[in-house]
Amino acid sequence: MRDGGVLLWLLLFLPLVGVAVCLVLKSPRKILLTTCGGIFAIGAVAAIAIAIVIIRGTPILAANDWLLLDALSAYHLLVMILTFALTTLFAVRYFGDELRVNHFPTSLARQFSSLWFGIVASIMTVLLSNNLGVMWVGIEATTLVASLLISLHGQPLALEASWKYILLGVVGGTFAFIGTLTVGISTYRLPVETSGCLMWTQLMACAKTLNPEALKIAFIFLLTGYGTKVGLAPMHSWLPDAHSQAPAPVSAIFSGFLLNLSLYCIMRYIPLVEVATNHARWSLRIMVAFGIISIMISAAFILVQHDVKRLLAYHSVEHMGIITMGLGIGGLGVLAGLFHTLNHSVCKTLSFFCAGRLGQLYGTHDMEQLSGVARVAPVWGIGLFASILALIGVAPFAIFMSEFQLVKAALDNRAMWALVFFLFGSSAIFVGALRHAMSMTWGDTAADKSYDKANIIDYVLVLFPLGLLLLLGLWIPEFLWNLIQNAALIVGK
Amino acid sequence: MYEWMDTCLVAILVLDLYILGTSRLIAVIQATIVQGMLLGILPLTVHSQETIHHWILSISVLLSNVFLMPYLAILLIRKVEIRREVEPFLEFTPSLMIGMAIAFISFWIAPYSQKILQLPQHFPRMLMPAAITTAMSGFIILATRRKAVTQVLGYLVMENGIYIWGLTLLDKMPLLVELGVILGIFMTVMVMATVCYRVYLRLGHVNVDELSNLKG
Amino acid sequence: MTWHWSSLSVVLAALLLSPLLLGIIPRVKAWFAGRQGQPLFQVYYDLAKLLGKGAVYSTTTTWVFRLGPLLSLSTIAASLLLLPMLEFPATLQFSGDFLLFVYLFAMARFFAILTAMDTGSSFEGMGASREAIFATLTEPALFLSLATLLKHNGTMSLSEVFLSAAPLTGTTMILIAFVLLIVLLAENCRVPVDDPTTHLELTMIHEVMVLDNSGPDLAFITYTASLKLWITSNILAQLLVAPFPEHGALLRPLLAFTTMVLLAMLVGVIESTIARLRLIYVPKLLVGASMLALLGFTIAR
Repeated sequence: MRDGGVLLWLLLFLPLVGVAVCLVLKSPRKILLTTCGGIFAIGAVAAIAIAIVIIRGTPILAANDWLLLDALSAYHLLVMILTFALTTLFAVRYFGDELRVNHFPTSLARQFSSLWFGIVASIMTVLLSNNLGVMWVGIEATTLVASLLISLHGQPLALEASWKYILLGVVGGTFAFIGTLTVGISTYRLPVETSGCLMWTQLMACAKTLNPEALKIAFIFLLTGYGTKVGLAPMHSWLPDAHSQAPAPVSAIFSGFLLNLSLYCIMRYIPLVEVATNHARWSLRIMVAFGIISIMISAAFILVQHDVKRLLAYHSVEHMGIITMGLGIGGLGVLAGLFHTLNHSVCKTLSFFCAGRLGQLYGTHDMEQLSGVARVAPVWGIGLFASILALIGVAPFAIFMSEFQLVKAALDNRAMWALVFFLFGSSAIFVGALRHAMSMTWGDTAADKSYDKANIIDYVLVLFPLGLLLLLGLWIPEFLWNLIQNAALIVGK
Repeated sequence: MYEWMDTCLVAILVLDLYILGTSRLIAVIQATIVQGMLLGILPLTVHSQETIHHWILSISVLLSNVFLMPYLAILLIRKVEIRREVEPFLEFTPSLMIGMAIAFISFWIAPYSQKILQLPQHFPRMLMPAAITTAMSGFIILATRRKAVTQVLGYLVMENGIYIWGLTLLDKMPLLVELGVILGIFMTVMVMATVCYRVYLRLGHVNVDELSNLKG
Repeated sequence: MTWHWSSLSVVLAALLLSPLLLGIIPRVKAWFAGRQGQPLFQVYYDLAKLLGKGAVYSTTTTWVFRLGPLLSLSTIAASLLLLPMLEFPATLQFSGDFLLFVYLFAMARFFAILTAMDTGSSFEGMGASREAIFATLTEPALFLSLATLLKHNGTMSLSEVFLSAAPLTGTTMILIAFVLLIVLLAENCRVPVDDPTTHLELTMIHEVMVLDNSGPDLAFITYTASLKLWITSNILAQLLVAPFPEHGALLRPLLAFTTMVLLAMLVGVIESTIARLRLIYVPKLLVGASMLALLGFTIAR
């Protein structure tokens, strides 16, 4: 076992231990706290692994090359532990309230925690596996666990959303699997040994000799398949439903990381196709097209939205579109897109925290009724306002920086149409979302709402992401920038 | 060389048409059981050195497609008390015809796509059409039937098609991945069945067209 | 266009033996029901009796009604000339003869429908309409099965199909044989498509069409039915026997005749064991058969 390999094994198995522990514990409070502790422990292990990758500058390989942690997956792992640590903290706060009014029995707590650890385990499978087939299995597992998490409370609308998600998810999964198999078929003429036909590192090593036509066909399937799970328009129809009906912590990880996870899978295939087709930018053009469509469609829906969680969901579609476009533009665009991933995840978890808490306090997610939130719950209200500002790209938040880089990349690469659509779409979203945010934050309070006293955790949950966004907007630590650059080099120069 | 394989694949194709044309859910499940048996036989019809690999694959497919998944499906249709698909969005005879049209087209395009994918000359002739038709039949059922239960069955059929397509990589894919995929598909069916049952428990029906309250 | 006068013997055999085939089915059914059953030659007696009687015509009928059964019989008899019997090519053989063959079949049915419509009775009309629908659905199945055979042998003439060195075998043969069996049942108005012995007019298809015919007309109709059974079972029998190696000039034709007798018995078995389909499911069965035939056509080389 090479150095660091044991960490990867730990990352895979710790969540499973967590599942087991949570199924044994009896009190809901204990279960929640254990979950919190478990996630932080996993986060610590992950942090060490990421640190090794950053410091050593080479990927960690383990288990006969079946496990791989390179810059790209390390970067996504970083985003993941960040969102999960924040969200788990928030989940304790969120469900703690339900606990106080006895709406959170042990069975539900067990269900939540085991699914929570389960989704961490499946995400780890995706991020750490070097084998594209295993990666697909991980994504499928993620979809399944997520669909169960959506309908955690068993509300009729949540069940409906859950069913829609699972249906589109499995169809997307099937497409992605066809794509994965076709990638394997592209090695048909090559003397690749049995275990190597879907090994990403081996495929990359012989990418020039792969059958480009097969890879092209595969990429179309993969992009539609995984793209369904990313929520790229026009396959996004499940996304607003799922995001709006899931419990707030679930919405937060959905938007904050699950979408990125599927996009990460697509990222693994871009260099394969590009190298095999001799850098003809074939796959990149499709990515740009999907990005543009997502931005435009989400803009249209954001303008007419009434439900705050659906509003945020369409923001996710938009930002996934932006990242996809960035990847498609290439060059600096990849860098911008990857940086945007981090910013969006941090920001979106924050907005779902705020929207979820406010929804709990108001008992509704309708933006007409959610007015004057800044007066009723200052912390969450201001947090929501600030996060929406950040989401629509107000300087000096980090999202502004990454979008600015994206514009620069588009100019450098003469991707004028993409630029025009991007600017048009994001200005429309800017205006639309700002109008919603203003009326929600400063509007008249209809009646005396129960004033919620914020505690220290609330301040941390709001101020930490906001501070991080502000910090990243002004200054990026060098190690992080190096990591992003290395990750971008993997996806494509 | 591939005589037996082609025969099995034709039988699977015929079963696809049967599945598309019938409204009785139990008949669909029975057909998928037979399909599962044929799928289990398929790896054994290929001559290669890795016999143990083929046997393990065959047995695990038989286990999941002939026993576990149909058992789950039968349990589900008993629990939600639905025996027939009624008035689907696309009627049975048209969907049967569409299925046949897909089979026809896939036969037509198979030689070209085999050339594009650089598959060997002596590739089993029926593999690609059978895979495409089975997957698309499943997709048609998934997309056009009114009951959530039927959609679960549609997924089952669809995965059978994908499995056939996966046989192209029979000797190339590590057994671990294949088993992982089979397990993944089984888990998917299980979760779909669970969610479907929860919908039934909570709403008292599994009509997909009534699951349309979320819009915009 | 080639004439094979020697093959007229095959036609003669068909004309003479076909009522026997029709007589086998009730016999098998009777045996299944534990009865003695009618004599094997009952159909011959019936025909003789009917031919000796006069016909009764309703005042609402016209010359169409009188001419119909005769025309129906003659078209079917004409199609016999196009039917080969393994080593014996058809009496009349030309490229594309299968088209004429199928359409002669359709024409016979057309005259039968006209006859039924001419009575002006709603029962006959109803039967005729059902017959027309089911015929429309059966025709593609028959057509595609024949087309599959022709495609496999790379010919356009029925006579060459069963003479070829590489007859249809394997999966495709099973498919086509199954389709032809359904065509046989549908064309001859047998269970599960139609029940020839039913007593309820509302559920009848073929039987209700001939309620008003009597005497020689009825004899013609019965004889037409027996010829149809002969022809449809003959095609199926030839398909099944074709893979056997040639051995003398008569062995395979005799084998084919045996197969036809067996098929008639099979029809009897089917009629005794399974129930008639509900009318709304019959189109499904026939469309399914057509689809299977199309599948066979697609996979045949």
